[in-house]
This record gives sequence, C-alpha cells and structure tokens, in this order.
Amino acid sequence: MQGGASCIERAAARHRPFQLRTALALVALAVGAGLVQGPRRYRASVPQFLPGQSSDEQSYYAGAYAITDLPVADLVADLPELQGLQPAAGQEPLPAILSQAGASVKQAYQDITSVALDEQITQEQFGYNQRIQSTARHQFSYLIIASHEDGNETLQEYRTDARMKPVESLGFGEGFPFTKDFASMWVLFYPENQPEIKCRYLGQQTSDGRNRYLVCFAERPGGAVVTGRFDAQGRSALLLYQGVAWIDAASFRIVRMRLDLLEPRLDVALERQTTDIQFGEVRIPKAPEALWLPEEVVVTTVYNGQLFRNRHRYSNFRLFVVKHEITPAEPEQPRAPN
Amino acid sequence: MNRCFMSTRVLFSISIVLILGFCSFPPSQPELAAAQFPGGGDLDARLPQPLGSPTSTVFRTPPGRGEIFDREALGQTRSFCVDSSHMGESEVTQLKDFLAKESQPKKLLSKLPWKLIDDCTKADAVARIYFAPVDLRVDIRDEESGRKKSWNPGQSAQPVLLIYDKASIRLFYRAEGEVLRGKAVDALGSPFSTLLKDLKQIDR
Repeated sequence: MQGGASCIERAAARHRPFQLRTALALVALAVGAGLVQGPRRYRASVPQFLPGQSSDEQSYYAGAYAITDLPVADLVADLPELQGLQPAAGQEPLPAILSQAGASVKQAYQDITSVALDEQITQEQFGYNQRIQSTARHQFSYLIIASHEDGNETLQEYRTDARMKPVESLGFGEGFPFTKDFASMWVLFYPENQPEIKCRYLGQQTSDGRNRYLVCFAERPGGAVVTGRFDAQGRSALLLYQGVAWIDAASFRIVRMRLDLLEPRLDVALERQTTDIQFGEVRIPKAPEALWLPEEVVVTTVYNGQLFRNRHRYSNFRLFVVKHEITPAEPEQPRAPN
Repeated sequence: MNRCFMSTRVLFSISIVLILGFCSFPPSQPELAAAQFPGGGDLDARLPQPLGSPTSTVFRTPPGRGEIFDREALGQTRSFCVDSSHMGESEVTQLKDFLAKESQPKKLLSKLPWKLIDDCTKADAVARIYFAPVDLRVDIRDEESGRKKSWNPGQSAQPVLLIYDKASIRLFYRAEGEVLRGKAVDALGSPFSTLLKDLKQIDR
C-alpha cells in the first residue's frame, strides 16, 4: 500500500545526535473545550514521544494511503495549487534537493531569534453550500521566543493582548476554532527529521518569476516528529500530516507548505483540515540575519460538518528583548506586637 | 413522558428538534455498540408519536440532501471502497453486515453507479462513515398560554457519510443519515440513499 521514496536512507536515521521534534497545537473547538496544549517546543535529545503523546497514538494512522502514493497526474488534478507543474522525469534530483533544503532549514533554525509581530486573524464560518454564515476579525500581538541555551533548542509561540499577556481563548465564545503555531513548520525538513517523512519529487513550477521545486511528503506513523493536536470538549486527537512543500530553486528555502491530515480524525469528528502556509524572508532592524517566517496562513477545517476558515496575516516584525532589572528588596520592617 | 403531557392538561403542538451536538463528541465505540439511548429502549418508545420532521436549520444539510463539495470528482468516480479503520470492532461488524446485505442485486448499494471494491488503493474514492452525536430536544408549546417548553430526552447519534479522494486530501461529498433508533446498522442505509439521490441529480 505504501509507496514513495524515503527522504534519505533509513540507515542515516541511526545517527541522530540532534533531533528536532515539535508538537503543533493546532485547533481547539467549541465552548468549554479544554484548551490546546502548551506552546510548540523544539528540543534536542528528547524522549521517543512527546509528553501527552503515547506511542499508540500514531498507530491510528498506520497503513494510511498518502499523497506520496498517488500518481502525479491524480495529484495535479486534485490540487489546484499544482497548476503549471512541469512533472519530474524521475526521482534522481530528490536527494540533492532534500539535502540542500535541509541545510537551509538548519541555517534558518540557527538564525531564528525571539521576535514580536502583529497578527491579524479573520475567522469565517460557512453554512450549507459554502455560504459564509459569520465572520470575526481579531488583532493580536504574537511572540516567537527562541532559546538556544545549553544545547536545548526551544521555540515557543504565544498569542498576546496589547499588554503582552498570553491569549488562549480566541474565538471560543463564538464557536470558532482556535489555530496557532505555524512559525517553523519547515522543521519537517530539518536534516535529522527527514527520515521520518516519505517524500516524492513532483517537478518544477514557476511562480512570480521564481523557479520552485515541488516535493510532496507524508509523515511516517510511529516516528513522526512534527505533530498537531486537536482538542475539544476534553477529547484530544494527535494529528499527523501529509502535504506539499514548495522549495525555492535558488536559495532552497521552503517558501510554501500545504499540510493535510494524513487521515481524517473521525473519532473526534474532524473531517478535514488543510493548512496553507506562505513563508517569507523577514528583515528586522538590528537583527543580525534575515529570518524565515510565515507571512500568511490559511487553515480550513471541517469539524462535524461545519466548515471554518481561519486566515492569519503577520506583519510588523521586530526583535523581542526582555529587559531584566534587579532591585534590592526593601528591608522588612519589624512588626509591632499586638 | 406521557405523564408530562397528562399533568399539564392543555393542548400541545409538538415539534421534535434534533440538535447536532456541535459542542460534544461522538459517543465512544462501546457506547454506540451498546445501543444508543440513555436508559435503554428504542427511540420510538421514548418520544411522542409521530416523530415529525426535524427542522432544517439544525442540520448541517437539508434533510435528505447531501453536500456536494466536488461535483466533477463525484461524476468521474467509478469505484469506491469503504474504509473502516477508524471504527470500533462492533461498528465494523455492523458495517460489514450492512455492506454484504446491501450489495446484493436490487439492493441499495447495487443501485449506485459506482462499483464497491475492497482494495482502497484501487478505488477512485474512499467512503467513511462515523456517528455524529445528536442531542434530542422536544419543543412543546402550550397552546393556551403560548409558552414554549423544551425537554431533553437524551442523546443519540446519526451516521455521517463522507466521500474522499484516495489520499484523503479532498472531501468530495458529505451526507447525514437518520438518527439512530435502534441498532446502528439500521441507520447506515439512509446516507447512502441520499448519496444515490444526489448522484442521480449529478448525472442529469
């Protein structure tokens, strides 16, 4: 049932001194639902499965027929984003593309620093025949906190209000899904993570005068390192992904990703979810390097027959610096006896 | 239930409103397998007769109609499989019984213009069924005072049929079936009937 080439030889997976693993908290739905799990973290030398993720959870996806198994012609017919694809004659270029993209991702990860940005969210709920029923708009600050200390790589994302206080309940009262944590989905292609995805080279596509390599991928159940979580009403489901990555032919940066569920999670009524992330180079004053961050993300979710679309736009990127000031405590006054 | 009507001694107009349980989740597999109604018994015994039609506003789709997300893909489909990998053991058994029974000549599935095959890797489309929760609510109007009262006799489930492409990246079609009144297997036919009706329309 499974097809498609492995990203890199499985043998290489035996030597992974440093592995980035991420848990992507994606969606929580419905009033009173348990919130999404904590912010995404990338960690070195982590245990086999992340906290809250049992080894059985990924077995839900065992045997899933994935995008990498589909004939290219079917895929082109299925995904309008692939219009204009010049199909690959073979898979020979794949190892070199993945190797270069992996190096680029590794560099982007090393460059990343804590940033603050503005996030504009438009939430739409659709009725029968995809007619818009309601729309909500929100404006937030967003923090991406990077830490490279003690060999423990972490990246956490927070949505905040004007006072930089974390906001975790966006849209709940209105019944909208709550989606977050897209800053570095490209870590799927981190060199040490590549053995955990199946890949297939689709060909090239020209867009905005830039040539791009298109690679479709599917996470391997049992070893997936980038996972999402869907939480609602105290029930929770682990999400594994498949999708397409657009890789710039000159810089090997991942400029766009489309992520679909490896299989729908009908046990929690999650019928479909597609995440489309557009990445871009962000130059921040005083930052030593240009950063590679999402500019726009569109998440389409069908939950229990209800279609939702969340559109996130990011702007006004700036360095985020926490100032510490240590002041001596006031000496405690002796209490007067009663 | 009957006591409730007797004690008020007024005329009632009764409408049954079935609310899709958006804020809740489908019952777990063992709950479903144990047939569906709080306190046991079947739905007919627990609700006033006749049941009446659920109002269209509470359903995702109008009753008896599915939602077509990709007309062209549905029109091009020639074969399909039914994926039960997300289902519990007892649901799978009931589904298998249903498929075996309804695939016979002149039965429901044989009327579909699609061929049912076992191997999903060779099918044009993948059908999946799950049971969505339904909160039952009875709206009662006191015709003398004009006041409305609601009564919640419990929760049931409703089969939902979904048609995907082979890799599940696209959802072609969705249909909701009748609310369970007894065994799950008895309700499985309704979303397929809706599909059949919709496919005939597409052909036209």
